[in-house]
Amino acid sequence: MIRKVHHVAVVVRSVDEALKFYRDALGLAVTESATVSEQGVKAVLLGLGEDEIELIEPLDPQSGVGRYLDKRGEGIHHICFETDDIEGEMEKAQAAGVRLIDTRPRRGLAGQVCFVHPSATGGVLVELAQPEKGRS
Amino acid sequence: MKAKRIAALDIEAADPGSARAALLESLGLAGNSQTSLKVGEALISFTRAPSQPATTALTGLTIEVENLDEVKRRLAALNVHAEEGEELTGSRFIVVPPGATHGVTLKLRQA
Repeated sequence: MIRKVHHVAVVVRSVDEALKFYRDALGLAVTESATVSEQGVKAVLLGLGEDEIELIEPLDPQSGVGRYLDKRGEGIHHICFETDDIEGEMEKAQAAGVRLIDTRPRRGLAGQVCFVHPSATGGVLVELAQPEKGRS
Repeated sequence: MKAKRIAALDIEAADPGSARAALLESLGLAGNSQTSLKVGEALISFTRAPSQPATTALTGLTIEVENLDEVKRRLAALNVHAEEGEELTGSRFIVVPPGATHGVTLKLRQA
């Protein structure tokens, strides 16, 4: 079951530059930071109380995120919804004919994640995430 | 800044009704309104994109904060311009334009 918005991801040219606003100006705390090589991004999560905001910087201009940034510029890239059963959500989606980008959950900054193809969601890129126990 | 949660998201689409229906149906979400849907505490609103043809875009993010005055002070100290307003419910908010936020129309609302 989808419980809530886990985070909103913002694609930026430079995470370090974006942190000057989100961390230094707004005062949001960084909760996690990593290079996610599978997605070809440098990513930082900042806490928003119950939820989070993610800043992602493409490491390769030819990656999906890199091409998105080149075409559409900086801005919100995707919404991530939190679930307590990512495999169940994926099975349900596949049974309903919903096109998924991932065929199985993979490790992401938010836990076990998968992406739903925008063609199935009215053009919105959606990530589903099952946070690791103890994190949400 | 002490943020409480993501309160709302704004999506612009060429056909907001279809975009909403697709998101709702593909994820099995519940929603009664024709122009929005709710996931947890967050309201996701759909509006018509100003230019046609347009691709669907996530344009706005609303965050509830514990102390809006503190946020205003922090932004003013850095010369970040923000428009002030008040919701019909009486909640005060500021809107920081995309130029200062790396592409996001960011609304910060007093919880």
